[in-house]
Amino acid sequence: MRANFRAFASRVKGLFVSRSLDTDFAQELESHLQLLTEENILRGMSLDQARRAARLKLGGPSELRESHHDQRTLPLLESMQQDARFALRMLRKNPGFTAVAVLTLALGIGANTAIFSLINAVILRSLPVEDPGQLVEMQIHRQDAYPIVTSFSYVEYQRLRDQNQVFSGLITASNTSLHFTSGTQTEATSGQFVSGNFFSVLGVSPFIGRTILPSDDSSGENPSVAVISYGLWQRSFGGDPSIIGRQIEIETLPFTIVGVAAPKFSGLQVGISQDFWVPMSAEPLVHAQSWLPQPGSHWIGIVGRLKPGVTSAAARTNLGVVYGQMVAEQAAQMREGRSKQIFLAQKIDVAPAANGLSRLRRQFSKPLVILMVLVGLVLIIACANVASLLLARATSRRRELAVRLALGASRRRLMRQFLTESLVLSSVGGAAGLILAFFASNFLVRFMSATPVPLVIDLRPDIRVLLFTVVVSLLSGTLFGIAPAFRATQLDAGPNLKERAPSLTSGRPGARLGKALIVSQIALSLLILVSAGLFVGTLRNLKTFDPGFDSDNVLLASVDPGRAGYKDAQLSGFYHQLLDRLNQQPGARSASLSMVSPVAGGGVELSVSVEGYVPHPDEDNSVYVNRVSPGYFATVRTPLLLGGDFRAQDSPASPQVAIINETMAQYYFHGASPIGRHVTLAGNTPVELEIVGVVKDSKYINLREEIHRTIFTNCFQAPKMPGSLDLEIRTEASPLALAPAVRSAVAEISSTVPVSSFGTLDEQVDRSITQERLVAALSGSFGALALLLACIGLYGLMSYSVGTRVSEIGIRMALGAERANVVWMILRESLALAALGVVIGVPIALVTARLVASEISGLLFGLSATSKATVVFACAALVGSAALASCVPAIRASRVDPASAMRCE
Amino acid sequence: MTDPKSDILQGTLDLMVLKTLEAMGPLHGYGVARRIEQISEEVLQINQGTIYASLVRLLQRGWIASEWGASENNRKAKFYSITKSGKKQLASQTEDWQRFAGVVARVLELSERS
Repeated sequence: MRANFRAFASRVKGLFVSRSLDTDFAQELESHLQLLTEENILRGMSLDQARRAARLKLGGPSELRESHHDQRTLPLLESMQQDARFALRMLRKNPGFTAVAVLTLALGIGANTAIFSLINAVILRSLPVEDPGQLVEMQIHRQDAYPIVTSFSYVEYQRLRDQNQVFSGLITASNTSLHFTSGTQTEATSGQFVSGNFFSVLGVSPFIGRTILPSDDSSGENPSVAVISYGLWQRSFGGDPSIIGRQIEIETLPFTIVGVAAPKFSGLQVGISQDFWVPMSAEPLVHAQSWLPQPGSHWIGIVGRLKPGVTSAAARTNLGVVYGQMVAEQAAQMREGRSKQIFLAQKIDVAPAANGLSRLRRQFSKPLVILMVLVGLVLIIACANVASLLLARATSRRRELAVRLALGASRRRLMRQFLTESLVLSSVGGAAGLILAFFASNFLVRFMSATPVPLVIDLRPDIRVLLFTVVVSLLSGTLFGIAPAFRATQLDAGPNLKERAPSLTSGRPGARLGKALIVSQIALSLLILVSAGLFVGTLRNLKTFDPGFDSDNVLLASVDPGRAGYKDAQLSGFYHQLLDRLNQQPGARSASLSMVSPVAGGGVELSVSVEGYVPHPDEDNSVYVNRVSPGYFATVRTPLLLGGDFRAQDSPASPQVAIINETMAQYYFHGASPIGRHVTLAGNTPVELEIVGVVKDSKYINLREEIHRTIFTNCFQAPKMPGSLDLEIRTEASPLALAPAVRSAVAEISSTVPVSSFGTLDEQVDRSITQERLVAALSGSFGALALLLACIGLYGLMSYSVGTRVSEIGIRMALGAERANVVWMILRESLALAALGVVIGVPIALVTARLVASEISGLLFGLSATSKATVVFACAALVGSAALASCVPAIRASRVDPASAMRCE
Repeated sequence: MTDPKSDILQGTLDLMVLKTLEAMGPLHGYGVARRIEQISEEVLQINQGTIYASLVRLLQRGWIASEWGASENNRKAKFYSITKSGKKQLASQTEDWQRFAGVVARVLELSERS
């Protein structure tokens, strides 16, 4: 065994030094010949005789040299090298063919690699921590609108940490965006409050300095220490090693940098790059009212490292006991009813966290998998196209092949040559695709990055992406190469050596294979087009659907006078002043304030009791709540249906008033006028409100939600004036152009009040449908690409077919066929192919749609997975494009001059 | 790839080359070929070129080593010598060969008798 391996190794080595081995051996043979000759002369032969005899005795020197060469190297590999070199030469000789084939493959492979890079980064890649397989994330499963919750209160964390028996360490972290000042530069930076054991449990070591330690997070210690990320260190401090001990400010509070985290570590969340970490015990310094002791504030995520040998199921059971007790204790103080039942039914669970925690993964993994499948189909279509090209080329290379067969090349040898050519082609395509993919996936990340915090996804191709591209390239090379290789080498040397007259029939097996390729391309394209149609239709439905507000020309911002120290009456004074200024601002039509702006992605839900309405014990009496200023409905253009808007003179002292939406009016008052009726909102201090108006329904959290009962109150009547509010300004022209004016309006009232998060309502709406836009844009492009490729294939086939049938067409025309007849003859042929593809494709599309309907229904809006209109549209698009693609060859056929066509014969 | 008959012959030639190198010490290709012919009392007339195929096989398996030197007539020639693992191989192959030859001889006797 070892000897065999040694032999192989020496052959591999021989590949690299084959030339010097050859000259060595030639010398050796020469000296052997001399010795033999001398021996023969001693025996009494003449010099000539002696030489001839010696040569006979030794054997032919060139044969010996050749077999010696083969023995010392790897002849298979060498001939593959030769094949590859020959293939490259052939490709260079046909630049047109090569360009089309490589471009097709680069698009196909590149698109696949791009989507795979995202899947790799978002779903597959492990966190750069110690033994990531042991990490799990805590989740709460609920039976209401938020089925999976991953936020906990700090109190819950402490109980879970102290009472579980399954974790070797339980850590917590809370994302926060804080203002980070070093020197004179201030920037809003994302960082985390972390428990003291965060770094030690994860096994993340410092690059320099130290990490946050458990002692930092214990009472009595100075919590004002920060660890910064390697990225921030490089970006803002130029990698200065004397950074340790440097004073910086976080929210104007002094902190000391004690360390820089390991270069690859940027937190646990995929897509969010954390720039600094401070101990949990520093939270009370930053927030005026600390969230740590509040059982009702769910603001931290919890991750645990399972003890060796503990399964997820065991952890679930153990945590279930601890968490169940907590829930039961809290529920004891709740009123009986539906919400208590929901509360009691919530269960704790653990989810694997080896690849990081990810809102992004939850949001994008299903769309990404669907896109991967679609883009895989596109690649198959691309392969079919290249296969058709190769087939056509094989036909034109018939003479060359016949010559090689006649000269004694084996069929196997020729097939190997053909496959090598395909693999060279697919490798070049793959390499181009990899470059394409890098740009494409970066573009996609910018597309997905619709949150105010930019998405940071490391898309540098790693070994997995490279391997994927290599495998995909080789697979496609084989896929498109094998059939043409078979076809091309299936020929007799004899007849093909002669210049063949173009045949009158097109029913040869080669043409049949080409047609089969086209039909399958069309069937596959149909599948992609139907999916694209569904997703594009979903987006169109979301866009054309009336959300109940008008998002054009609205500037959004948020003001935070609470942070500047404003309280109660000062706050409302500030807000009034600001609204006055903005309403007089040239370019602004109207301005308003609200707790949340439309479809911002979150909101407040409270339970309500309605005067004169007796709820069923199990009834859900929750309503969405928004606190808005007078003028809000006019600004976002939500029409008032009944009653009137809030009045400027409403104050905490005057009667508390509310405006409700249509759905709420219908639900509680069944068409009777709700004006003047009273409702009471639950909360710390229940308030009774008089209904003064009804507005049209509008979307609250996002565009996809069902309209929920919603109640609006006047923010100036709030029992406790909010410290920060969102600002909406309807502008006459481009909204963002007004941002500097808003900034200076705020600054004129107070230079210390932060105003941030400038954006437009249009952007916010788009952000709320990022996933739908991504899927629609990509599936739409894939659909277009598939259609284009199928059409190119069809065009190629029909042109080729017309080319071989010139004489037939000539005869037909000489016998009196009209031009239109000829055009129709060619069109009919291609339409028949398209129709066959559609007939095969439609059932496949429908069956597939039915199978995945439940999977994708969450991604669709306003249409079903088996939507007939979509299928019909896809078929029409395909047949129409097919007709268009074959028009050119058909018209060319009709221009055939009968006389010259027949002379050619 | 190759038929079994030539495999046996190849193996036999390799064995003879190894034995020759063990007995004679370093030799060049011509020397090995000449020596085998002499020993077999010119019964075995080999095509001397084939000796090189055998030498390459043995070299690649590490059973012999080669080195440039000067031949009797002062020409540059490659000298081959047996290595340690070559000696081990020779011992075990000699044993195999003898057993094989014995078996073949017995079978042939058997068929003569019947």
